[in-house]
Amino acid sequence: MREQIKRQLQYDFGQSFDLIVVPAVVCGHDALYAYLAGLSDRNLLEQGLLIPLAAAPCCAIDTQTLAGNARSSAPLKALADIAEAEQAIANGEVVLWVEDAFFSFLLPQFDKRAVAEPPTSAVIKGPREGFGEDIGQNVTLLRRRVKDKCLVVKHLTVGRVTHTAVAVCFLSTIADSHVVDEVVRRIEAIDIDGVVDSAYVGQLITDNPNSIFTQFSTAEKPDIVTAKILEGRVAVLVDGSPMVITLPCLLIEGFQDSEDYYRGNKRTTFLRVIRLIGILLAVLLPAAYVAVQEYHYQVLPLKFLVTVVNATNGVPFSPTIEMFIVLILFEILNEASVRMPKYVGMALSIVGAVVLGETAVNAGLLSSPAVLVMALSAIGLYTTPEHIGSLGLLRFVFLVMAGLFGFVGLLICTLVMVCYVVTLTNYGAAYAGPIAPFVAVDAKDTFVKASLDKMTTRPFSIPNRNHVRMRRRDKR
Amino acid sequence: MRFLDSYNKLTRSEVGILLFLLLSTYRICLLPAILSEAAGESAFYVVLAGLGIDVVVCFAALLVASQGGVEALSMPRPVKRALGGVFALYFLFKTLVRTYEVVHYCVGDLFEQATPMLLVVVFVITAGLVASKGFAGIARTGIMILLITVFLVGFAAFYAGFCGYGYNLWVLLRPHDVGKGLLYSSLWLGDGAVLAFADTRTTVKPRSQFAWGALAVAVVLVGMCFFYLNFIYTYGSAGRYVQYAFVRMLTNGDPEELGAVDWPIMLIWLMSVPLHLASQFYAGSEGVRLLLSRREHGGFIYLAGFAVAVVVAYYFLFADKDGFAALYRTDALSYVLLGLLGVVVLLGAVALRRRPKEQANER
Repeated sequence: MREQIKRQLQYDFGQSFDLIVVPAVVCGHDALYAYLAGLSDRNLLEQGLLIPLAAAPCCAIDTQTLAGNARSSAPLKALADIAEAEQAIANGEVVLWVEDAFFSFLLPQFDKRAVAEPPTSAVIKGPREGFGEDIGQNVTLLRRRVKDKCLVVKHLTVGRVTHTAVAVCFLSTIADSHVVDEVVRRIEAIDIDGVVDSAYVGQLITDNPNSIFTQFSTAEKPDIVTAKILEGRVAVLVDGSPMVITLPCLLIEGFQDSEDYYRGNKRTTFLRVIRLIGILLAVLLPAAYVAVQEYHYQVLPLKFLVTVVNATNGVPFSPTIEMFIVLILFEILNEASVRMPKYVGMALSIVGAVVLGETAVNAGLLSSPAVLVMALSAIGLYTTPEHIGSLGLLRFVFLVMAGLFGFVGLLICTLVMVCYVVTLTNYGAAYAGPIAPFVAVDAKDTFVKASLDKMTTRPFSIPNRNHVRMRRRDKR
Repeated sequence: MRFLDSYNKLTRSEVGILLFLLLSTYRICLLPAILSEAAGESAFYVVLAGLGIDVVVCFAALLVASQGGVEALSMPRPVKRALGGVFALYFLFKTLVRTYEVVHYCVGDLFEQATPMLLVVVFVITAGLVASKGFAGIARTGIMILLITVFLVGFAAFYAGFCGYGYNLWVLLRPHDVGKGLLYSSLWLGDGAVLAFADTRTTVKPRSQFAWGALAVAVVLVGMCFFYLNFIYTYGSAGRYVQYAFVRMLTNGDPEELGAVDWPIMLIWLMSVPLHLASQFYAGSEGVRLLLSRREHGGFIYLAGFAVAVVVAYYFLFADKDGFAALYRTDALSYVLLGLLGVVVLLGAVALRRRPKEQANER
């Protein structure tokens, strides 16, 4: 029988070389240990299970007996059949077959990245811890910050082949149960072969998967996720991904940065307004430049107009085509420098900025105002990294509309885009909230940020069951 | 999980922004009464009377809205259907004329390269798209647009220096031809009637109706002053002769005295036009729904039909633009339009009569 089980396991795992099957004796019965090398701790297995269980007196086998005789506190579980046992082995557990029954022990051991500052969220002031790829470690990082029993972590598995662990974290006393249930329901409904990153899960559980705008927030730092959970959001952690998804997601989150909450409110307000101006420049400036050049040059003051006309004189392209070329060139350079190794990327940036830009202007192929507009637009784009993807695309749409219809196109495009944004919903929350619909109580953390002692309530724009965040006390 | 459970339900801030859009966008059409002698030199009283009509209609519409809108009023079904039909025609006509005026103005003074039909289609499609999201969608778009324009332009820049603002004030206090001025303005009054189709039962308390009305008046006055001061700031004493294209048509002003308002102001104004049209548009489609006694919102079906009606009507009427302009400036039509505003006031009275009974029942 033992040999049969061994052959069955080896066959089912395709004779994989890393499947270790060890015949043994447990409490006087023939037994078999099976595990995948590299995923389980061999020393713990030998010292905690193999030796003590072999020396145990003959008795009936059940989980209590095994737990009592083993010299290990590893979680022990009885398994129903061989299929379940194989899944446990694939999950990195040690499976014990004895007396026609299967048991699993969790003795994990594999290399993982140390907790470090994430490259995408470097801060000057504030915590520098970042999530890693191990879901257990990530949950621990959250637990270390929220030391309360109301932090609930629901475990789910996604992927028919990858069986990826997914954790849904929320505060049971704050998060809206409808939102939590909906998140869990949608994750459970995912029927896919594998999940490689949290973005897979994010895209599959959003309200508007085809939307151009970001529909789920991602954070790589536990302080950010903790703050969002405290506001009533639900965090979704996926094994193998350092990016934690938080839901519901609002448009305004793109303008907020973790450092905003660690510095003075006046400086933060100023920076948020700068970010807003940045994205308006990013999206509208190229289009407005083209509209003015093509149709409405009379809106420019005379001196300004003369300068622009002199600078654009002799350029062989129409303003629309010229701006289109400049923006496409920027996107190509951007994509190439991101994909290249770090040092090559820097060299590429220099080539792009100095050689291409300056030479093209000197050669008279492009005008310097167009390059300047593109540069301002690009800088503006990077003030809100969360929305780079959507805004980068939108400026092309605006550009085309401005090229076709001038200011009318620009206005119409703005209206349609805004109308689309304000009607988006995200897990019961209005995506454009708390601006549209305007929620006065939440206005204290939008483009204007109030001081921390004024933030006595949790956002009303996000469904949650407890709106009281802070009780004010008299200052002494 | 849908946020827009009801297209007609409005929060307080949404009622506020809709009031602003409805009462400010075309309110500058009353400016000729100040700036032009063609409307009679009774400008001040014309504006005052116009504001009075606006405020009354606004109150009435808000009263109806606080009871759940025209649809929720307890009336015999045939009466409701008749009301739906009348309102559908009224808002269709209003949308048509407003589109016509804006397009005429844009082609004449702002975007000379554009063709009228193209602009009509662009405006109607945009207004239709926005209208398809209901009053709530229109109001929320308005809030975002307001935010963008505030940051984009920086209004303060226009008020860097005022000069010569007293020059035109003398025309204000000449009480002649008030009736004539009002008749010419009838199409531009009572924009708040749109709100009769909204539903503010859960958000706006009945006792705050008057506060909203007062806010509406304040908004209108501030809006008018804003445009007036901008005129004066931009053109100084020449402001007296500056008229909008559609204002000229409305008042039979001299079309040769061409002027253009400050560009940024007009761009901001143009942003609010499709939203205003959208609210008229949506109210019209709600009228159609009432006429057909449909419970569910038709969405694109009604709106598409409405949009096609506007474009087709525009196409035929614009072919004879002088005749069309003459049509909607006739005295008879002006009386009809004013009479329709009276219907809204009547509905307001019905809503007011019903309210105490309900409150008594609640007690």
